[in-house]
Amino acid sequence: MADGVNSIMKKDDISSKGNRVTEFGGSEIAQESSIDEFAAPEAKFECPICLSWLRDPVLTFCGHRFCRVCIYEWLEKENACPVDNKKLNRDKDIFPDNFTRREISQQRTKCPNIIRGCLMELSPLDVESHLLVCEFQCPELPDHEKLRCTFVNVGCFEKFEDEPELQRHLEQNIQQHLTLLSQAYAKVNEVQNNDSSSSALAQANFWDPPPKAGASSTQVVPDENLQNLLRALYEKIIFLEQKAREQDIILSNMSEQISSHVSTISNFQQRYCNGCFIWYFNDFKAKIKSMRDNPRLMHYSPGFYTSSYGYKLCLRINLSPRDNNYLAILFHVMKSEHDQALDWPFCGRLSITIVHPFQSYKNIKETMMSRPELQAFNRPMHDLNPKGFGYTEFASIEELFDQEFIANNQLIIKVNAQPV
Amino acid sequence: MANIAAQRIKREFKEVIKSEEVAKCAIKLELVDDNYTELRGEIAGPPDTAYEGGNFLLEIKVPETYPFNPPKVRFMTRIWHPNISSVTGAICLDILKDQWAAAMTLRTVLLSLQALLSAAEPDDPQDAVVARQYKENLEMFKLTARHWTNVYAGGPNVNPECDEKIKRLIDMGIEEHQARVALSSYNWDLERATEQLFS
Repeated sequence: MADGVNSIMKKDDISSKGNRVTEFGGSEIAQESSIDEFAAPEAKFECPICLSWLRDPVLTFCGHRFCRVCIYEWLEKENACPVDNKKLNRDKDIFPDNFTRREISQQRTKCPNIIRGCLMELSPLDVESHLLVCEFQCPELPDHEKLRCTFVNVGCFEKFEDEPELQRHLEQNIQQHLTLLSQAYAKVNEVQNNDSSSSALAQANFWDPPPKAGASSTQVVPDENLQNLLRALYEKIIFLEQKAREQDIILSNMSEQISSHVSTISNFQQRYCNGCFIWYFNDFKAKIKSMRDNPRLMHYSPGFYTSSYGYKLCLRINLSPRDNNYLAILFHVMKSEHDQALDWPFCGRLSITIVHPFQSYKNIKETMMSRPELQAFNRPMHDLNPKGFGYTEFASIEELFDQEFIANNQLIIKVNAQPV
Repeated sequence: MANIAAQRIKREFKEVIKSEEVAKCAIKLELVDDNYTELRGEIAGPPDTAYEGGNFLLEIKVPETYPFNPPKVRFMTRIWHPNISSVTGAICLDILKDQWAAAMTLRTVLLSLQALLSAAEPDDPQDAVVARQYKENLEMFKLTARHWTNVYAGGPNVNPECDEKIKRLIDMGIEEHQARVALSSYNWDLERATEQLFS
């Protein structure tokens, strides 16, 4: 009786363990305990000869249980108990153990294929015959196609038919795998120590001054020095890297500031030019070529002011729509912050000069008076008044080249705008 | 192979793999083929013996009739021991012969062999030469066993004197192992070993 209670207690224990595992893994793991029982029966249900579940159990005079077939086969050649070597007479000392037979017949175990979905509950004795017909049984794979344990590198050579089986093995053999790992780790460590100590020693020697005669006892010290040196260097590297990063940030901030200052300065120049502005039209040849390719292309100068609170104007250059050998140069009125305080339409004198870089007498200068009836002088509604005012055929490009107006691939245009 | 034998070995194999002796690196078991008929065992030389620090490989062959008949076990690593042949590695141990019982397992066999290394039975010898040395000159036996453990099983105890004598014989054109056997058999007496080798 007490035995029976014990076994129930044990079973509870096992299943509660299984539940605990479930929290981490899938539901399959919860069933583990029953499979375990199939794989290795409890000691009192195990035949010491075949190590399987007792099949048709018998009890010997000396108190050991065996499968009927197993013990009789053993007694064919010996006449002693395989466990304690006591003399056994095959006719007198062997009794059927019906108590154990009944206990085993009441055991239920789950098919090992539960991990693949078989829900059969069987007597442990029937598992083998069930496996032959179980539809969830997967076919034995040839050896090289079987899955290897993931710990094969550290010495676990188990092989499996499929993924769930491997999973089960991994769950069940944590302890063993840990042992293998720790052994492998110890080996690696050993190798590394050998390696590092020899190489460290060599390096230490490399850094050291040649040893003085007789002073060979400082083998440890250079090693330590080297370690310290390395640590110091490493710290320094980190410090410098940090510093470099800070400097990078400061630099990028500064260059941003500088570029914003540059743009305000050029704004200032144009604001305080008092209507006299010089436009350096760079990269002249390429621009002419691109304008010839695309007749609609136009180039605008930066805006400039006739006085600090005056009109804002800009110049436009494009090829004459009628004859693309001629440059057109026109004024445009631009929107500025103080437009509301100015008189509209713009009224004044405008002059455009193409400056000869060397001989000022060759300068081409044209002066115009504004014409209030033209839209071009009205207060601009957009950034730029779409209508311009000037000459559509200001100068022949050919002539500009011939007369050497183009120096350094640059055309210099000076404008003067004076409101009246 | 008979079903019962294969199944039992499978289970025993798992039992050994999980055992604490394996965890302590005292014994080891590996499969040689996949039908569980041949295995490779390994036992560590027991501490405080001449075999300490050595690892000894064992060839284990499982008969069809296992477990009703004992497995056939032989040392593959050369060893100097009264109950183990220094030539073939054959073992004289009762449980591997008439005292075998079906309830014994590969694990108990490996542990018994380990026990045999720490407690030789010179009165039931396998190797008569070794047994005689063991009984007549125990110190000489221990020295020789330690030397063999060092040379063949990776033991830590180098014996420069033995190595020197062997080298003398090698210089005379004798093969190393043959030289070691001769010297071991004649209590490392170089003259008598030479005499025997050239007679």
